[in-house]
Amino acid sequence: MLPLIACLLATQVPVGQPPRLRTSLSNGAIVQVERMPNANSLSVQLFVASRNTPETPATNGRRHLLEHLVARGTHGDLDQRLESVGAFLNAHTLRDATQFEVTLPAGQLKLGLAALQETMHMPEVTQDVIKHEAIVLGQESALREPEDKLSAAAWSAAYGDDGLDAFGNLDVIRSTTPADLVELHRRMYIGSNLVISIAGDVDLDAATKLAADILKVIPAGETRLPSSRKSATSAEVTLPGSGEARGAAVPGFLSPKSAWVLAAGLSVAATIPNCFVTYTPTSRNGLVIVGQTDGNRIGSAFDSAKANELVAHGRRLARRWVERQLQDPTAVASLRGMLLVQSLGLKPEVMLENIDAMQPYQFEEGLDAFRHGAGVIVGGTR
Amino acid sequence: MSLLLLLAAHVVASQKTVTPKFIELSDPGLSEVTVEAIVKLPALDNHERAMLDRLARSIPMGPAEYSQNDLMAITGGRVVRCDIMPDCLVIEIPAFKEDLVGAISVLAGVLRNARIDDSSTLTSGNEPDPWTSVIHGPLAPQDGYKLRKGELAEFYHRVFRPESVTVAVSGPFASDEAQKEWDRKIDGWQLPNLIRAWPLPDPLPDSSPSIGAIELDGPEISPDSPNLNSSLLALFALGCGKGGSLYRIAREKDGLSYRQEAVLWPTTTGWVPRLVVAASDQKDPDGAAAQLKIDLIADVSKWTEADRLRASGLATGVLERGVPLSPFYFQSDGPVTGSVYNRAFLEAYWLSKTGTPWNAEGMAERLRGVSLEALKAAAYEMLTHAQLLVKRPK
Repeated sequence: MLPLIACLLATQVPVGQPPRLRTSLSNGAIVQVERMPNANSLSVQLFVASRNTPETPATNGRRHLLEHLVARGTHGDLDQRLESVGAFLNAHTLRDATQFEVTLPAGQLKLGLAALQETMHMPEVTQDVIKHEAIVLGQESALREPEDKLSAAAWSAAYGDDGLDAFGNLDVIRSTTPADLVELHRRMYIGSNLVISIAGDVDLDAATKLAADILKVIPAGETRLPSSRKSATSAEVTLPGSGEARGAAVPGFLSPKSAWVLAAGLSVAATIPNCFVTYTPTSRNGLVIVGQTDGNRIGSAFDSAKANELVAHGRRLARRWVERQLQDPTAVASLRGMLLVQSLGLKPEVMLENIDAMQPYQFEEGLDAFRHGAGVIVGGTR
Repeated sequence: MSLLLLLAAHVVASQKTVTPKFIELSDPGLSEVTVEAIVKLPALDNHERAMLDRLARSIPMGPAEYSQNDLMAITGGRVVRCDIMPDCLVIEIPAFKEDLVGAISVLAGVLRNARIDDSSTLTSGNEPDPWTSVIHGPLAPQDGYKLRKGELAEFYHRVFRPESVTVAVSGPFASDEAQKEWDRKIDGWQLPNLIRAWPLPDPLPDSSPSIGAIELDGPEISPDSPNLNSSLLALFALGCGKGGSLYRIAREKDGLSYRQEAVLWPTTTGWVPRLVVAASDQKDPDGAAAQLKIDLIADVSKWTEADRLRASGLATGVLERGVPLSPFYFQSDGPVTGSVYNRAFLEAYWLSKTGTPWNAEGMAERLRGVSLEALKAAAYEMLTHAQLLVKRPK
């Protein structure tokens, strides 16, 4: 009986633990663990910052190609193993980082971390492998949604080569060599670029130790330096196809103005059917984009929007936007990991404080950021 | 009889009252209220689909007696959704937890007295994204048909009938609170007696999707089929996840596509199992489709216990924890899962479709109980009788 009791005690999560624990390792890597008691799923995510590997027009797409190749794992059966327990792996290439997320049933932390560990290895890559994957990426390109195309056009107009579409250029991808990818991998996978973010019903200390064991063997690399992005340019561009988008330039995630612009964008989007709003949290200058793929009512909606009528809706919607990303393990691990990989000080709670403190005149300033002469306007040609 | 009289729609209220089915899902753990309605559809031709599309674009404007500001105050600025599927319309009203009464009022209003604009000509709706155009098929071309006055309203009352409607409401309210409010709001919904007094126009033709695709469509599965469980598990084994046959063959081996999925697609009488491969710019799509069928059958012959465990593990994840690798394409914006966000929808949908309550854990357990032999037999059945479809882009 005694061994059984000891085992039960060891697997129970201490009730006195704080909600989250962040640990910085000596090589610059970070482990973030969020305890979500009774969550029936577990999310284990790896973020690899892009600050050491900024893409230029000549290299745009290589990070995306590498993401496809490393996500297969080292033995080629990673997905089979994960899916057999109802787990799965997703990967995304974003402007500021590459993200690998493993979603698992509660209690499968070791399996999730082992999967992430596999995605950190550089696989054997030949020119034929690149050729095959370039075809798949070409097919992926054909499936891109109109929202993505409008958003990419807005980023390009606002930031030029500083806002290159993370999807990449297919010609660049096709001409990439195995040596290019080996070099890219070497520069990306250094301690100061890496964050493992975990959320679920886990023990903070045990989960931190397991993740740290994986990260601590990675070389330190360069000192973690904040990267910057130039100021946005107001511009007006056209794009083949239908739809319209407005992009409003925002400073980093912590700036109150980002909260005002987000609230303004969400409130106006709610007045138009089939509207989308995108904002990827970033420590650098970014964009909040409001778009419509089947119409051209965005501009007039911002021009006629009245701050006093919309500010309360905007505040509720912006709060909800943040809070929904703090509700389930996958969203929590994603948001906190994405913020931490860019800067230690980025926290979603700051955005909530800025939303609550927003005054009507600040909301009006948020609306102005989308209007003619201030924001980026993308219009479809039909 | 004069032409004017012929063209008039006669909507006569009868005394018969029928109550829609109602499901209350009180859960203090939820942070928001969701009101969901499934409106079962009769078989419709392409012209009626075009009318339905216009109707679905009217529903988000809310009930006739509500202004846009009233509606925004209840939904917190979020959009009332109305999706068209082959077997039903799905209406979803999101609301903050304090707006339960308002959200139920809005639903009762749109079911009986929606704000309908039938004053104009039918026009094509928005072009869906490429994957959606492959899955749903393209929009029926609608341009140019001038709606007659009252025509859309007549169609609305033909579709929105109490016996066709199933409602589910979820949120952090007290037990019986939603039920009482619903009973109060829906009381007295009288069934209109409709006479369609104008001839149906010719059906509209189909058009093409925005990108190419190849597809294998198996025989229809009935909700009461004795092989339902093995057929569902076969879909998971064939086309869900990166360990599935479709991914391994169409993407990894052949480089045909980026996205390929098993899709359980609703029909008015059941579901069709579809294996869909989005493949643009193929030189010989007919040859690729035929070869895919051969390769898939060969792959099934090699399935082992590991393939069965992968399929049932994934199915359990989809049903019990909302893993998004689901074949259940019951809504227009993608497959649904057992996640808390789809709970109200699935409760209403499953009851409307099958007449039985939704039970995610029960279904997961039944799928885990399917043997390897039964799984392979269901997959063979699906593949050997599959119709090959090649969809060429416009």
